[in-house]
Amino acid sequence: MKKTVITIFLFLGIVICLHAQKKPGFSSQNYVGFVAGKTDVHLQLQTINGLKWKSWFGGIGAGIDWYYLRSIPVFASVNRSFLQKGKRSLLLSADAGINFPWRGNIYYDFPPYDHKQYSGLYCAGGVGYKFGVGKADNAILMQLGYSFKRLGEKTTSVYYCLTPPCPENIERFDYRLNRVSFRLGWGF
Amino acid sequence: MKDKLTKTYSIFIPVYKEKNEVYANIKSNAPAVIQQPGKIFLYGNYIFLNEIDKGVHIIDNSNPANPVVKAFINIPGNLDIAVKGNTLYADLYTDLVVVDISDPLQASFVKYVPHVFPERNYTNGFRADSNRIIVDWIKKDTTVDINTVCNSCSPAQLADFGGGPRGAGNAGPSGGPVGIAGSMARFSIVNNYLYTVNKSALTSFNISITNDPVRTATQQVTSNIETIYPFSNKLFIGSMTGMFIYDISNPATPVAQGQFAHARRCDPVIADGNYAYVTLRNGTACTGSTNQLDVVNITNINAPTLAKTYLMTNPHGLAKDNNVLFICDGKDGLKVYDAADPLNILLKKRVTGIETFDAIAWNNNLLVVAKDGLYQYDYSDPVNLVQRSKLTVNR
Repeated sequence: MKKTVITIFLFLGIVICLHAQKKPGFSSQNYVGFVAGKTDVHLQLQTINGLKWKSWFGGIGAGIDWYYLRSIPVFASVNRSFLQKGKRSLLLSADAGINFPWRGNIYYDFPPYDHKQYSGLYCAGGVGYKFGVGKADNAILMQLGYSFKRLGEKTTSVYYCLTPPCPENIERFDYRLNRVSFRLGWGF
Repeated sequence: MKDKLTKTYSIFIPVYKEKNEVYANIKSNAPAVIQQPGKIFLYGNYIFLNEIDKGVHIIDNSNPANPVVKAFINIPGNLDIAVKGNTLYADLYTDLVVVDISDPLQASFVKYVPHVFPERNYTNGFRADSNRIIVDWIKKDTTVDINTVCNSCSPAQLADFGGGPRGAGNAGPSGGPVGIAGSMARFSIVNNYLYTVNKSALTSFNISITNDPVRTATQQVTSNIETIYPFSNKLFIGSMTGMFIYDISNPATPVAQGQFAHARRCDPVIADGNYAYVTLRNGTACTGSTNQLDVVNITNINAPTLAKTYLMTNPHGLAKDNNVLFICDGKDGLKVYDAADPLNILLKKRVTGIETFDAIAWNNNLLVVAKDGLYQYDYSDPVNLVQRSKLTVNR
């Protein structure tokens, strides 16, 4: 997973550096939406900030994803506008990064219970619609696509005994969550 | 869109052996790796170290700087040990077994006394039958699909794993020398009597003939007994709800004398002079939320009173030699106190980086059972403990 993320960041870096020579401008995309899977439907918030050049946009994003276990995706994002008609165009987007658990590690003194959450892959992709508003580059953004997040958990509880160290019961959880993602945003 | 949710956990499957085969194997076998050290018992130049539910390591401690594991006695279900003369007493699940250790390296099974620890007939959800004994557990990792949130997907796979009584003993003359046990002991030897506690009762055995213990009395004390400690013709019994004092002027039949009640906690206890030292800790069945050392005034043995409380982190076993008090404070390490004034004990030294459980202080040599091994320290200068050795646990 680390290799994937590094590759994407490198790619983004190269793209941005190349385009930097042709005066790319700062751009921001900010979304609110939901992710829906078999388990439930939950809210997601994201902000992606980066550089825009011609029909391309690349940036670094972060957000909050409430699906199943609340998490903080941090990712590289790239999208491209196409079939532009006036201020309207279609969008293709791809995100990849790491999904950090919201809570991290918690230890309860009583009963002795160690609970750790582990980060995992985050990736998403989809198609959307961009609707320009006003004179500047302001735009309403809508996207529908697929979103994947993976998280891990490990719980360690200690059984009662009179001769420590008392035996531990360890359970490991692996969550691979496939969702439909819809997000509505504002870009500038 | 389907989520893939999995849970991986371990299940334990019992391995049985015929009773006769188990008894035949209660002897000095080749040294075994220390994996899960339990209680300790110091006897002359030997350390007897319990391997939880497996047996007893025999360690030659002639040179504390270089202890050598010489042999291992296979005693399934063993948690507690005590030694008098040439005889080792140990529990084997529900039974008390007697082992001849005239030559510790040629130990041999003598006999067993059945049903001394009745609550231990049930382990990990399995009940041993009348002819077979659980000698080991096979661990298997299992991964299953789960489709619910994790709050509802944690069935306990190891109910009461290793639960039940575990312990060792203490001192007294006559009929052969007696060793020294840690404060977590559930066996205690005073003169010609062996005292054992199970979950609720105190049992006395006459061991004038060391290899033929004769049960003389069993009496109910309270529920959830944890430890037993002898001092000055008294037995101090630690339970989750309080400390109970029994007089053993008549050693065959101890008589209840006083008690000191406290909130429900786990509490090893030792006594010295006019004070008893009780460590209270929380955790699992220990419940409660406080961790502390209670110093109890036992001048009036019939009515012990709390003299002072000191806050701790998660105290387990403790040991005292003259004015030096050692407390195994769990993950907070080993703490050394100047206890010249029990009402104002002063922390003199703290050894960090080890998770400690029990200790024996004897002749300036401190034995400490920790999660990662058996440590020995020279405490001739308590402020500057010098580590002599460490027998490492290989899990």
